[in-house]
Amino acid sequence: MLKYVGHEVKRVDGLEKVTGYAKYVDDLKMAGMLYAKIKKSPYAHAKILKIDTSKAAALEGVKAIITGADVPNRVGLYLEDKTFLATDKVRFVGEAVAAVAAISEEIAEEAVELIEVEYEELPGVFNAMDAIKHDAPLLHEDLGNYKYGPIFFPKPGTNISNHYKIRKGDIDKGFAEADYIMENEFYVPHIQHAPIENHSVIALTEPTGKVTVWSACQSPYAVRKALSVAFKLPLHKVRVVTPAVGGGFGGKAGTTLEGITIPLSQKCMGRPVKLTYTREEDMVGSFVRQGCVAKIKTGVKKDGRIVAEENTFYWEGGAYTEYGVNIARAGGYASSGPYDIPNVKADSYCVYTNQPVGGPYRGFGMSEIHFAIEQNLDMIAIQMGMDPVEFRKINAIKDGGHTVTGQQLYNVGITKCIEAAEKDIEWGKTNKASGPNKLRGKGIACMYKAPSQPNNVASAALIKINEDGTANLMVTAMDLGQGSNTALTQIAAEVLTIPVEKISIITGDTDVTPYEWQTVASRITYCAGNAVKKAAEDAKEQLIKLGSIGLGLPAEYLELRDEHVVSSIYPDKKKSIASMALGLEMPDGSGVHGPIMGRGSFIPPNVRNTDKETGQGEKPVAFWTFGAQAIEIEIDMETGQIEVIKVAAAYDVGKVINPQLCRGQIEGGIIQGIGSALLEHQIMEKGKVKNPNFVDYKIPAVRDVPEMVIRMLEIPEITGPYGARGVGEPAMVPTAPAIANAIYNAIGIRINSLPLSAEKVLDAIKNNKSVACKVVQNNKGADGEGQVTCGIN
Amino acid sequence: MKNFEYVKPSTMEAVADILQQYGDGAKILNGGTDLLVRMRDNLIKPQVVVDIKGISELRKIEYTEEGLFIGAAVTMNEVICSKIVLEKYRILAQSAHEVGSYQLRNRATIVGNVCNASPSGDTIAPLYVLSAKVKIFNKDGIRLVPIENFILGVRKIDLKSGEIVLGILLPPIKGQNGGSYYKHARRKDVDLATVAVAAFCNEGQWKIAYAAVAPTILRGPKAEEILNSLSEVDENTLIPAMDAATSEVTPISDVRAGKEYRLDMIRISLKRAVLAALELYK
Amino acid sequence: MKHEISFTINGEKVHLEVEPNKTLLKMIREDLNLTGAKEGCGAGECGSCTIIIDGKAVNSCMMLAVEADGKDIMTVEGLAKSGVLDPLQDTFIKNAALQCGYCTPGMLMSAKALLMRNPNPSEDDIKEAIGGNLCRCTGYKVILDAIKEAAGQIN
Ligand SMILES: Cc1cc2nc3c(=O)[nH]c(=O)nc-3n(C[C@H](O)[C@H](O)[C@H](O)COP(=O)(O)OP(=O)(O)OC[C@H]3O[C@@H](n4cnc5c(N)ncnc54)[C@H](O)[C@@H]3O)c2cc1C
Ligand code: FES
Ligand code: FES
Repeated sequence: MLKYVGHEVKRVDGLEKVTGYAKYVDDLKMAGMLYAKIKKSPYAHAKILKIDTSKAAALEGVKAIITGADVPNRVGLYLEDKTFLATDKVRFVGEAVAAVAAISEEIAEEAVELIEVEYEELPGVFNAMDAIKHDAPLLHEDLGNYKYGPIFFPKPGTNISNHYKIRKGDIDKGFAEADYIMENEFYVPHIQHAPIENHSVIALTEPTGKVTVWSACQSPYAVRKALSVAFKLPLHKVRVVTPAVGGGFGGKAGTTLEGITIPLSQKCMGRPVKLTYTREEDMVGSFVRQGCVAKIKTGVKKDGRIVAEENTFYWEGGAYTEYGVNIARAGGYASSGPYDIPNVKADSYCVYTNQPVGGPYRGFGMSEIHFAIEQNLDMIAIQMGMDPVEFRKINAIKDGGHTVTGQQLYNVGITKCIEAAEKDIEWGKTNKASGPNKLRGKGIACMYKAPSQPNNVASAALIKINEDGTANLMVTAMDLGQGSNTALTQIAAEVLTIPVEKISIITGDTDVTPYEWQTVASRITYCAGNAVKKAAEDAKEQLIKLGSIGLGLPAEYLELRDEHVVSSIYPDKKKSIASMALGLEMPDGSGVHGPIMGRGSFIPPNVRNTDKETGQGEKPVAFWTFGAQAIEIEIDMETGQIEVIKVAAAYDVGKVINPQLCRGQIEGGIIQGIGSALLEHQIMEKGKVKNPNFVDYKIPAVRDVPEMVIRMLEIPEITGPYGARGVGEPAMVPTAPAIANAIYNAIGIRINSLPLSAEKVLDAIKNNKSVACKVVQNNKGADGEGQVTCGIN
Repeated sequence: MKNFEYVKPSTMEAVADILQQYGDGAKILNGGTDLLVRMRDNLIKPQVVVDIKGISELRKIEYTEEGLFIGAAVTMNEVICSKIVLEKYRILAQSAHEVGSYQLRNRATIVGNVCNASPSGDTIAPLYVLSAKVKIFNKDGIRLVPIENFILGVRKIDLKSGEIVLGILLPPIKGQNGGSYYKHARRKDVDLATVAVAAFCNEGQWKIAYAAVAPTILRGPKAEEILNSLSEVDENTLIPAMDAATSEVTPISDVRAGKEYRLDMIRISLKRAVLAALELYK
Repeated sequence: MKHEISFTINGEKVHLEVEPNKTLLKMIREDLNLTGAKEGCGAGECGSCTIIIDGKAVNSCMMLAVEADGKDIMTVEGLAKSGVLDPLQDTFIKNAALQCGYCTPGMLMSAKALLMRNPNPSEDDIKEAIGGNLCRCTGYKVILDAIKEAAGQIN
């Protein structure tokens, strides 16, 4: 019986957050602090001819000015293609070209206005399809000289920064076997993470050259590494401290403002320099979710089995794709969704465009590809006269089935998730609409996702047992709101039998807390959870050893129970953890062992490279999370407005560590999914974002919330702590396609691009712009032969 | 935000003096929900900001034989909760309720909304159909200007140097009446109108005003005429009025919506506003 | 020119000199070091700066500091009285009505102002009160639950 894991333990950060005590970076104030502002490019693509900072420098109160010349080193997580300030040219509207540190924000702002930049405008490319044309203007002429990880495949001389391939089975044979072949196309536009906390960083350079940054970031260690490369500093001279973070969703993975504040602080030795983005700057200058064009060609047997699939994804990666290349990769190795398809050919291209920088966003490519995959499935099912739920069940990966990389899976939860969602939404039953001119419909969509991370990413945890029997747990897994501080504390409590209230968790200080690769990829409960469990087990082993000496009983008959080492045979023989925290005191007054410190290190076991040409491999990822959402909507036929009535979500999370927090992740994900489905879209004109604020970039508010029924299935992941796998990102993945499918179900109109705005929906209704499933081959003479699509609507 | 002088006079005369002295360099600060956003974005950089909330007569809301006077500094929430407004000018309370968020409405004022003269100002169209007059103070006296003449264009109003809006005067309404405001927006909470329609019927005579479909709020004489000519207004008979509505507006395409959609929505909004007004007609 | 202002904040009297172009939010955060109220947009759209002035919820990013003269202000730091949490704070923790916590101070103040004027709010009243408070994390449902539960406790 588990005492802490699986229980609704209250959030450990609740009290500090409801009292306003929790400190986020912008809340920190330091003696002598300076304030930075950046000068931004008005052009999407232009050569920088000259930057004149003399007027700005002359302004009283200005302490430092930097331009690209001060930060020339290229950095990037997976592909080193960016500099912190533009050097030779600018590649998107809003790119930072210079920065100022001054004694007040107002002066910094005034100084920025005084910086004069001369540009020579260059032709730009504003979508992926134009950017891959052979005569398209190049964003990165030097792509061939950039450094990148061995699992990426840039194409120098083009705008393609990664071409990831999957070749599974025999695609030609697969299509030859198919009774029907259909081709469909989808588009997902750029959206913004819009955490309520904007990016904020403070940097301080000490006389020793040591740099400390206080950063609202997801991944202090990854940031430390990037900064050490960029500024040629040894790792011990870079310290990244991360206090409370006001939401990330991927937007705070990687480095951003640190690279601007550090060089400023280096010019103002000893004075901290703070840079906090405004909402407008954050919307454009930090990561956005990449746009994605998806083309899917599917070969299906009459009985509903998909036998061949050819997927092509073009990611609109923006001006720099240091991170985006890996999203293209993730899209590739997950390209067919949670379905077992014997023959697959996938090509996933990350493409440079003169747009804001694409980066990780909750789902890491999965929301984008599933928008295509899950609508494609519905289109085919309906074309073949099959029920979309049945069609999914036929093709879903079963125990012993294979993913697109050829990985064989067991204990696969997808079918159970489909069944749960189907039941909770009352599939097949059409409810009455709330008024005239309104129609109801239901749609379903599935998903799967693996943590997209290098094979050997590492996590560590340390536990110190204190002499009063309390403990300090140290990790660099960051609680961005998802609740990792609570979940990890629960895991430590479970092993140590020390109550949650008696454990303090300390996070986010690279000088103090142990290594964690990144807080991304829905990997923390799994990776850091395993490290914490091991650290706790390590401490436990030490305690049992001392207990064995102290009690004079063999270790194998001892266990931890209620903060004591206890004999499993004679329960009254016990010794408190507190009494052994600093070592065991012997009868003669001497001591042995010393303080109990638990160490835990973890790397996902046996995750191995895939074949470069085919993408095939037995275990390319640590685990897969499966889920499904079925959604009921109501459409106002006069206005095109869509109201989400009910969402039934089912996820196989392996093991629920904390039901309340897990449900919170799923609910929050659904609402973010609804935002991306109905409201959100970075409206761009030649690369310039026209709605970089909450006035015109609307995220869901309270009255957008539907009824939500959440089911958390527990089919254990054997390598996960207590069987747990991640769910944070999967929560939002199926929402948008399920809504699109529900629209079709309600009114027989297929819309293949996001957002499903009222305007777009009404246009499709009025002008009959439904996209038809394009049947390119029909061996069996079913209906619908020869229909043509009308492109993206 | 650039720095400026802040003054908070306690008399209208003092405000007028400052406005006259500084001309365009002075800005009146009311609820500040438009002004401060524009200053934050450096769209305007006033030398002097004149806070009028210290003048007690501007906080009045009172009903006399002249009608209802709503002082310039009366907030949206005060209007929404005013018994007299709810009883006699419900459409105004309803539109005020559509403005921004609850906390915004604790600051934002109707007069600020009017003086900001945005095409999507929510309380303005109702003022058109209620035949409101804008009461203006200058040192020579008081002028009363019909709202339709007061609003000249996007952020352009009929206010001369040294003049301040004292408040809004709504003439008394006699006889049976009912009105409703229909706002079409992208999101239910806190959003600007994509289009909106105010419909008001008094003794069988309709008044219609459209928002967010032209540089100013527009009256809809054609739609009004059609509605007035109908012996019974219902979902079917008002179709010609809906069609007329599209011919009397000149919407543009912007980030909020395309022109086509606005034209479609003005028809639907007209219908919904009129039908809702009928429900309330008594 | 700086202005001298006096006001009460969380029960304490304060005299300050402020520049006219300083927002109330900035003054509270920087001059008074009360960093509970947050800036999420600086333009009235997100509600994370919500505080209570003379009993009413307002966006402190859209007020000048000088306008606080003579007012009675309450921020999230003033919610708990002598170490005892406000019922809302309790129910927010209990319902996990917060994740990253960035919207939480504003959310709490909107909810507090609601319960001050209407201890018995309907679901629609609650939605109206927090319609101007954006939360990107929770999906709002738990926040509604927490406010309902707190209202129940007061009654
Ligand atoms: C987040 C947000 C949401 C919003 N949502 C809406 C919405 O849904 N619908 C809507 O219509 N508006 C909306 N607005 C705009 C704004 O809140 C309203 O226009 C509001 O009514 C303005 O009133 P105020 O008192 O705050 O005006 P202020 O900002 O104080 O003033 C506005 C303008 O009028 C001038 N002025 C004010 N009073 C006088 C006077 N007595 N004499 C002469 N000139 C004067 C000022 O100098 C200024 O130029 C929104 C604003 C924000 C920030
Ligand atoms: S910061 Fe004030 S509303 Fe967003
Ligand atoms: S808890 Fe993160 S924004 Fe609300």
